[in-house]
Amino acid sequence: MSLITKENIEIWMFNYHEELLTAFEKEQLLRFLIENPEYNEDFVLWANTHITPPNAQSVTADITKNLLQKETPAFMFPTKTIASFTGGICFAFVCMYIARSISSNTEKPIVPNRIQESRKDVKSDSASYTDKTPERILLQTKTIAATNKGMTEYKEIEISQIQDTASNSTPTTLKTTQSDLIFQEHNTPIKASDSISISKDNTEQAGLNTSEANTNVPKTNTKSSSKKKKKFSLKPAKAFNVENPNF
Amino acid sequence: MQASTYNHIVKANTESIYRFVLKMISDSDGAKDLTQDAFIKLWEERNHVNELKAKAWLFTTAYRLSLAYLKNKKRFLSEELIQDIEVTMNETPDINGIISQSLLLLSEMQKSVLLLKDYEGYQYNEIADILDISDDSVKVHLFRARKKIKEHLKDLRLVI
Repeated sequence: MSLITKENIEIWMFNYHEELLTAFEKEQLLRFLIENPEYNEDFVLWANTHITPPNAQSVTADITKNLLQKETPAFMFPTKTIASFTGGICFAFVCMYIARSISSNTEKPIVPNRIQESRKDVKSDSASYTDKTPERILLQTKTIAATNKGMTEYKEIEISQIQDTASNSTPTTLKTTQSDLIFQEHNTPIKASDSISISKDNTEQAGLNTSEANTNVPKTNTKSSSKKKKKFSLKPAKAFNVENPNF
Repeated sequence: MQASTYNHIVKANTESIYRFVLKMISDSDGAKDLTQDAFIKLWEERNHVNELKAKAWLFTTAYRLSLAYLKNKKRFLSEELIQDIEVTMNETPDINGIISQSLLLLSEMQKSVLLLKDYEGYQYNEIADILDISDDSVKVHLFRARKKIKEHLKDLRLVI
């Protein structure tokens, strides 16, 4: 502020009681009042211009009672209640949907890729089973004549056996052509260990001559009659000599 | 603003608003009515009033209501009435009573600034927001109000 003069002394005193002066300015004003004591009365009157609030609490008690509003609880508001209820239901549905999706994902069995690939190779409608590395063994490929019940036509079937290399067990399936017909005629399943021979009635067409081919006795059971055991006899070779040094 | 918040504001500010209005219009019955009017307006505008600034909003409303009330009552406030007040002041030399009654000599703006400063302890900028004037105008109005009171007190001392 500017220097204290008789013209602005009232502003200085006002600012002093309003606490707008610094400590140095307050000291300046007090020093000026000491040097000019005729302003001391005005200085005290300026201090008395500050008024204090009266106590009017007893009067306002009635006003306060009239002005207070009834406090209604939150659930009494219909819009808020409906909104919160709807929101809760939606939240519950979302939680149920998430839980169901999580449970469906966890129920799926974990299958290694190798097994899944091998599953793709298995065909449900075919009678064949193939793995990636099968050992395909052709057991027999022969011409079989169906002789039973006056059947004269020749049916060629190819019987192949696919054996799993891993297990080396009994043959799993047989790949046949018209196999059902043959099985019905013979009433016996064909196994890998079975030997399939040519029947007597069809030896001529098959170009084979056997000792029993010339007989005219009809054979009803081709399986039992066609089977003939070969006898082998072990004889020493002609070149065998006990004294021969090569043996 | 919910009812509970509004009730809290009513309990906290009724007395100060009533004091302010009473000093503004010098009528206890009128002050009660205007105080209630201010709070009723607050309840009506509760969705547009910030809770933190509700007290300042109430003082602004009370100031405007007081001005409107004084405009209607202006014809009754004659010079004779002021002289009667001065006589009453002379009869009761209590300094607080004299100062309170000397508020009648101030203009509405000077009175409002003085009441908000001394009664409520507002700062200049807060008073400026309530009365919608500048900070410098607040200081000027306050200086003039205090100077009037000081001169009035000086005259009373000379009389006594």
